[in-house]
Amino acid sequence: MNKSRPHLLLVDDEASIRDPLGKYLERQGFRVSDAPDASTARSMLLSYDIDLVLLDIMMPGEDGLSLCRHISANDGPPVILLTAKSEETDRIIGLEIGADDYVVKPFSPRELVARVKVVLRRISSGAPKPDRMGEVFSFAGWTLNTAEQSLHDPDGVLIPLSSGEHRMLEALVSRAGHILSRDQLLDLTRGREGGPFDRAIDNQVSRLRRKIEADPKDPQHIKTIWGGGYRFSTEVKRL
Amino acid sequence: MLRGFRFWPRSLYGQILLVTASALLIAQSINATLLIFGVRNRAVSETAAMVVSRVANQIERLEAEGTPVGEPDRWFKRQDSRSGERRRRSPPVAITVDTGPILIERSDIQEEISERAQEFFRQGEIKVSAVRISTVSVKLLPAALREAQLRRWNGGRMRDPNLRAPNRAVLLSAQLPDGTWVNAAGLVRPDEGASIFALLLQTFTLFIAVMIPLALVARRIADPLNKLTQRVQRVGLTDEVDVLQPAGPDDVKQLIEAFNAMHARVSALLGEKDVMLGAIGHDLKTPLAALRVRIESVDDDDEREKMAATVDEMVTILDDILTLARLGKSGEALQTVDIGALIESVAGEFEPVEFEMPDTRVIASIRPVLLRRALRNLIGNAILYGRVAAIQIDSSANLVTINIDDRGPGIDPTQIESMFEPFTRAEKSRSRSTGGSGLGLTISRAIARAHGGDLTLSNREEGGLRATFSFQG
Repeated sequence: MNKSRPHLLLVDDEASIRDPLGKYLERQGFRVSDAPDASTARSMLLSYDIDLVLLDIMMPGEDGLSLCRHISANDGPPVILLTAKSEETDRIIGLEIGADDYVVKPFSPRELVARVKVVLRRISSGAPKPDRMGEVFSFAGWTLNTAEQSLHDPDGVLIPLSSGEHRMLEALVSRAGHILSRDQLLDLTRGREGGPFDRAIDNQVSRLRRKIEADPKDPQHIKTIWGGGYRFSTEVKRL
Repeated sequence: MLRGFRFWPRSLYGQILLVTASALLIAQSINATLLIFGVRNRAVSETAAMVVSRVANQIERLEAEGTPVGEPDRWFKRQDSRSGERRRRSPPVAITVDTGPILIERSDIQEEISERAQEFFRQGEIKVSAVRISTVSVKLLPAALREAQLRRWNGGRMRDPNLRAPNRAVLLSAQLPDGTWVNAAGLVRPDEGASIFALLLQTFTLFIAVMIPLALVARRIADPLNKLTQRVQRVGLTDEVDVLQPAGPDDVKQLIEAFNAMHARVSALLGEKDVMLGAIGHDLKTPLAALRVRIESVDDDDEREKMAATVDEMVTILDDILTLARLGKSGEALQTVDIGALIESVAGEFEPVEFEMPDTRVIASIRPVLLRRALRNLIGNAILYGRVAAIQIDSSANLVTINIDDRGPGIDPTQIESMFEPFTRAEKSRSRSTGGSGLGLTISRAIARAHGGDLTLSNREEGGLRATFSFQG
């Protein structure tokens, strides 16, 4: 898919969004087709070689979730959901039915373009969908669910993490046993907004330790490697 | 007045049963008293009738045999010659003929019976006068009237051990035409213990016969009422829409049906409100989203940023209104959460925040998304109006308290309560550029109350404002 102009399919029943967004995306260098409903979108998916679908969830007739499920089940192009609701459940459902990402309306068109590029880059590099789209890790009785962004201790108590802490823990846990330098961690935990990670890695690690270590001064899970960085030393199982 | 009474039950069920049981007890006591007197009077009447008829028989018989009425020996002879069989069946009566009436001081003269006896003698043309019938204690009878009788009675008791010793006797005195007096006594059959027992049995039967059906009926009324009360208490607290099954008598059934209908109407109204709010939310967000896209075509960077910020602010206000309106119907489940970690995860979004995780974990069952939202509002306010947010957490007796202190100027104490009114800001003059919908404190307080706690504001002595956010652990 190394086309110079990736072909996007924009599915939204609102012409007031479809038209200006289509124009904006074309100015950003994409080729854009649009569809006002799911059935039109289905036929366009058959007639064109679509690289990515931008899909509104709330549409009359067949809704976006249903179409997304259809696309995913037929090995179709990646999908980014456009949703008016920001509730957690919608997000999780969206990811479970095969969406690659989502944005909450009203979204910044710049942010949307950034995400489209991230997804296209990942597809063209042949990488699988990132782990954070719904993996569950378990270590020493703890459970880390990356889709729900939740961490539960061995007693089942929810330990809330900031999104930065969550990205840090996910980076460490998913690469358990490997030494990660501060630079690597900075790369891995950079927000998907693409902005620089503003908190020092050491600070973030010490916050995490206070939440998951029995004795933060003698950490058992997140070990400091002299001159190297950090390593998650506890055995991790993928559930 | 009845409420002051210690044993007065508070429930409908208890009151119905207690009142009925008491009424039954009083009625039965009156009944028993009347019954006992009735039995006693009847026994006296029976004995008196026996005495009178025996005396009349004797007089008639002696007159027919031509024997002078006044001869005492013959009286006894005749009497004793009667067959043993008859003796046993009839209550014993002893008769003597004396020169005067036997007068016993402590005797109850039976006026009515005396008159009836006189009437009886007159109709039988038996010439006696001054008939006087009284009841006396057996012990006070003269020996001639007592001994033989008691012997016979005791003889009867040998055969029937249940027969009790008599203690009352009917005494008859009447003057014969020759001037002598006939005195006769009959023993009154004592009250039978069996009648008391029968009375108790009857009372007990009545209690069972009345109280058990009554208890069942009262239950049939009280149970549905209690269920209705519990159901009404839950209205609005949960999203339950289940219908309470009408039960009990028609009056109660109709009440429950009326409640169900009312609940259905209220639920429908609330449902409409939710649908409407959802529609407003969606319908406003769509043009906002369109506007947000079009803003990108503005070339002036500065202007574009400001327009985007305005749209974001409108979205924030919209979200706040929707959150507040739907708070009671939050779909979020309760979770057991480490509150210290929750605070830190929110505090991490702000600068500067002073917070140390507590050494012992504070764990509570809460709705984390809502609680995060409340804390975000409070920490944001503290930094906005008071430069810094200093947070302490305290948990005691099932209540978790989070204090968020700032170092700002505080608030005029008379203004504090009005801060919780929707769309109120600390400084009216402050421009909207400070952000927020003016619903932050309203929402935060509603969230605290939805968790069984509260949100209060107070000025600290050392300066600055303290927000105290509490909830049940």
